[in-house]
Amino acid sequence: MKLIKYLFIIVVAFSSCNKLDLTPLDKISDTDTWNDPALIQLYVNACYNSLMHGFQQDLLSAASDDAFNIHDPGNFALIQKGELTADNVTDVSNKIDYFDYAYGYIRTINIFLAR
Amino acid sequence: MYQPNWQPYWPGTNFPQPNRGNESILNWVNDNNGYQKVSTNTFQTTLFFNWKLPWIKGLSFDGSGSYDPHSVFTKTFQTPTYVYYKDPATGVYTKGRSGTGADLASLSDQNDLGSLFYLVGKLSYNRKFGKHNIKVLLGYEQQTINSNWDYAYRSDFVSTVLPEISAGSSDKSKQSNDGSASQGARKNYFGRINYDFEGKYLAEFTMRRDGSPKFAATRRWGNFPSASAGWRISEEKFMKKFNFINDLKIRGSYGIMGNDKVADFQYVTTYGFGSNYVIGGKDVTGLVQTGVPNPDITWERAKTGNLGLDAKLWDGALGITFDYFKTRRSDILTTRKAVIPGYTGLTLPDENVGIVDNSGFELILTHDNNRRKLKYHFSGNVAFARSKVIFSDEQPAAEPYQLATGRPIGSDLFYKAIGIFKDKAQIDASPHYLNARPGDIIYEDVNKDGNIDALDQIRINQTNVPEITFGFTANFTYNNFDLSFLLQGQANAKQYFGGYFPVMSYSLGNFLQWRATDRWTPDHTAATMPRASYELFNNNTSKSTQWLLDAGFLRFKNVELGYNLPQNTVKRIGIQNLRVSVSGSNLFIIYDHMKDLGFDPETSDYWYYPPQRVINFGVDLTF
Repeated sequence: MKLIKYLFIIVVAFSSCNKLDLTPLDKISDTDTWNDPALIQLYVNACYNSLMHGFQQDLLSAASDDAFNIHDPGNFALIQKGELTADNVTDVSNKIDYFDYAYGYIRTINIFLAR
Repeated sequence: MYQPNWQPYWPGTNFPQPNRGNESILNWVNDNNGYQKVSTNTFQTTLFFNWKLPWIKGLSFDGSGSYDPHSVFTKTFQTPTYVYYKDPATGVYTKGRSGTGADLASLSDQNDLGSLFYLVGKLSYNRKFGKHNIKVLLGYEQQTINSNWDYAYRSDFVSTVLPEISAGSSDKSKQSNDGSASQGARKNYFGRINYDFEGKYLAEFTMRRDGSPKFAATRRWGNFPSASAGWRISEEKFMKKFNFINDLKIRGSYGIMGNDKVADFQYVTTYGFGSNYVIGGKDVTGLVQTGVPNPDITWERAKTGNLGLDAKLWDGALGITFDYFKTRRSDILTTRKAVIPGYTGLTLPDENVGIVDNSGFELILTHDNNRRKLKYHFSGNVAFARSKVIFSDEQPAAEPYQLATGRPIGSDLFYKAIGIFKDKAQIDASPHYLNARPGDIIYEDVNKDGNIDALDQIRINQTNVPEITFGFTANFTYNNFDLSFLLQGQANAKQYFGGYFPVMSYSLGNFLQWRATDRWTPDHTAATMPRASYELFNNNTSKSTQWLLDAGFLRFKNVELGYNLPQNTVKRIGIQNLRVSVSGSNLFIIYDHMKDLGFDPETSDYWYYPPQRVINFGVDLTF
């Protein structure tokens, strides 16, 4: 009987340890990010991606007659063949279908400026 | 992709031939390219106790706790593979590296550690007062999950004799490592009250209160009650004169269930590493906001009502089980599709939007005959379920026939294929794609605006989830022989086989016969399939009803024939029971609308491995 009472106490003690207030272990919180100058620097680094660089698979020259990309990851063949329409523009790389991408970064930069 | 004219070995030798990209398929299927070893250790401990509380009769407490740590160690050793190159002039074979893999071996070691801590306590009270039976249960449950992993990698092993990290290259650029961790928790309270009177009137009430760490503290807890009642009419006195009724029961239930299957931590703003950029010739790490938070995210609810009937008549000559159900899922956790314009730049989180109804019935009829020497049991079942989107936050469609609201969940948009263009004259005479050619699919101009565009897509009500499923089981017994079989099928389902793989030949593959036989050619213009082309995508690969196939089928799923050796024979050799049997599964298909395609009807896409035909011979011995 004594043993059972001890077990009961252990159960109660353990159950109070369990917290549903968890924090992500692979991400950083809002407060931590904006209180650490090093992390703010990293945030600014990421903003530079709004200036696209050319060294990617979906080279813009594949949309012109200069180049041909056999795997065509940007789906630029649509442009080369003159088949681009309002319906299929979302199938093309965000170097052409640029607006959602650009507005995403405008928002990112605005968050930085607001802080 | 392997072409049928390729050879694995040079003729007359055991030297692997270099094929596509100087690879040999032999090196992919044997151990030459290395190995992956996974060793898993699981340790499970459970402590439980039952305590009959002395003060009140019928009251007891059950408690149990478990702690289960586990570890997984994965070692992946990749070694270079070789093929033989033949000199065309001299005919001499030289050994060389195959394909595009590395010249030297590489190794990765990964350690996954995790633990589960689980506690449950249940207080139960069971008591009989005369004709009243009462059962009460109160419980609490919690679990905590922790896990972490780390990973080490080195390449450029000088030798493959020692597959350990320390034997790899000491050059830092040939090494890498990674690691992370995660945690989870769950808490819930539950209770149940059962009552029955003489086994005639039955009632049950349950209540759950669930806490999920995926939601903010104020939205964390969900209450999910349910109630059910049953009436065994056959137990009533006035039913005794209908002596062909052995058992008759009607029942009904209503309850609410919760769902929190969404990504973690969507209620808080978080930042994750990524989106690196090159600044001043150096790769610098970036930090980005991982989506917009939704602090109001909470439980999705499903309210289900059910009415049922169970009956057994004429000593099993007819058995009936019937159920009708209706479910309304509301506060459905999904991302909003409409209303938010792209210029906000938002990546949206899951929100509680959407209402979907699902209703249907299930009927099982059985027939038993045990009176004669040939005994048999038949059971047939059919189920029907149809869903309907009541509210989804969708873009107001330009054409009303494109709205998802009011249609089954998952119903999708397709162009309506109405034939194949015979010649140029026919193209000029009808609405067509910009660059349509003879032999292309004719898409219907549904809104009659003279153009074929996204507005001409129609919504197809059937999806790859069947609305009707059915089956039939039969068991026969005659003396020591027994035979059973199972038929299984579905109807009101559609499977889409589009995209470049089934539709186009691609540059290396071949056409399916289903696609090629009746294709358009300049000599055969009255075709049912579009022209052949080397391209990956063209007008004919648009998502259209041409590639939407009826997924209904009926298959002979299982059959088993068995024989039990007579008791007096087996007893003599000191065995209690000896049974020999032969069984087969997936033996044949009775009907199948996708037969011409050459795929199994249960195939969901062309990468899917179909169910295999298995024939088993069995001997069952009991000593």
